[in-house]
Amino acid sequence: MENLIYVLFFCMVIPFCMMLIIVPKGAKMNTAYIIVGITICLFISEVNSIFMNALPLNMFDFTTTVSPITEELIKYIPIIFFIYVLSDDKDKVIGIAFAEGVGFSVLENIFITVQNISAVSPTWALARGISSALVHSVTCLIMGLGFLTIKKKKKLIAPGILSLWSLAVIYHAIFNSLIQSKYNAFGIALPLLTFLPEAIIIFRDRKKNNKKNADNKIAEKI
Amino acid sequence: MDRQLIAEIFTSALGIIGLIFGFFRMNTKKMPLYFTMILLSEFTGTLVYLFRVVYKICSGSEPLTFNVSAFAVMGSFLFLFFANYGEMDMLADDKSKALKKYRIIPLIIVLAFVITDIAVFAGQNINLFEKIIFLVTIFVIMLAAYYNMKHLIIPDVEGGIIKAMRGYNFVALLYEILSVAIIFTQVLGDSYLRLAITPIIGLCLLIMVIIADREVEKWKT
Repeated sequence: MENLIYVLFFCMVIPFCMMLIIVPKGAKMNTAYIIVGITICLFISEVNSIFMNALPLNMFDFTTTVSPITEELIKYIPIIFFIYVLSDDKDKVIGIAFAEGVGFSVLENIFITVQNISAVSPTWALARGISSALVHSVTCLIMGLGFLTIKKKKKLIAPGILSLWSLAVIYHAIFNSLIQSKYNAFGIALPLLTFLPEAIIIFRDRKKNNKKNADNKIAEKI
Repeated sequence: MDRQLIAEIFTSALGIIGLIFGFFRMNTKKMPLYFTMILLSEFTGTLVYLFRVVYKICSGSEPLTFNVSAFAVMGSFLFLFFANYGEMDMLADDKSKALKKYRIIPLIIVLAFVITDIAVFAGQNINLFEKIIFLVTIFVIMLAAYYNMKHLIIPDVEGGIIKAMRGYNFVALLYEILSVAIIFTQVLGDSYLRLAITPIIGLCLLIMVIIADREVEKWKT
């Protein structure tokens, strides 16, 4: 089916759009960024198919050389937009970055599943669900939190953006190499191993901030 | 298993050790942004070699001449540039005339890179796209090397933060010189020199984080 990805796209985006109307204000942005992630996935599938036809590369070389570059580049733009235009609150950035990565991986996973329906199994789906969602979310988190840090140094924004993007690209390329090989167990482990330290740092910072806020409230009361 | 792959595995392993060390240090103590940038540079630099290892093992062949690691090399040095230019230089250099010579002397390293570039690239039959990628990468390394060299020779400021970072700046400069040399070995096709340089880069990646951590500690004392 030629327009399969568009069919899947509408099936997923329309319910999320309806959800966007009804959810409370606090959850709107995360829902919107899930939609952004899904839309980016659709857009990238078109961009990648153009490159795929134009470049004389096999699937392995393409997914380790070209697709990480295009995917990370386009995924980065909405995050930069959010931080610059909407909010530079760390918790909000974490939320939208993760939502974008999840949205992206959901459409990507469903598309791959439908295309290979005879070959997939629940175990495959479980592994794919964990690894793909985490790899896209981790790269979005790296770029989002990194950009939040470098944003303070105005004259260094360009090199900062480029270096964070390159970090996300090579991380994604390593994942793509592993997941397509016989060492795909390492491919599943890689995003888990990188997500855990990130999660630890985020939880630790959140705990510190909560304690700080509580102390401030007590001080105000006194 | 070919010897270059073993060297790259060794380099990746050292890089990962450095990364874990840096992560634990950041998790146990509040570290300045300067250290974070050095750690990110080390992380990206490690991923360059890890990508090469993974690609070779998974596909059984050498990565394409143009691959994502070219961007990651640039990224690694842009983080170092960010650290020194963005974080330290405004403290080290007040733009006074007295420090003019310290702004000029580091240009020697830039000049050395340019001359070696011309000598290596002249007469080599490589395609234009690859040449551009190599030259842009070397340019980024030059930017980082200029500031590492400058902070190696510039007089100390109050608080001793510049003097405290001399060791790190020296190792970072070595990492930059060796990274340029590895590009030259790619251009010249000198596999023996490449084999010799690769593990030293791994050592630089590891030592860079350890020294930076120790020297940043001196800021607090």
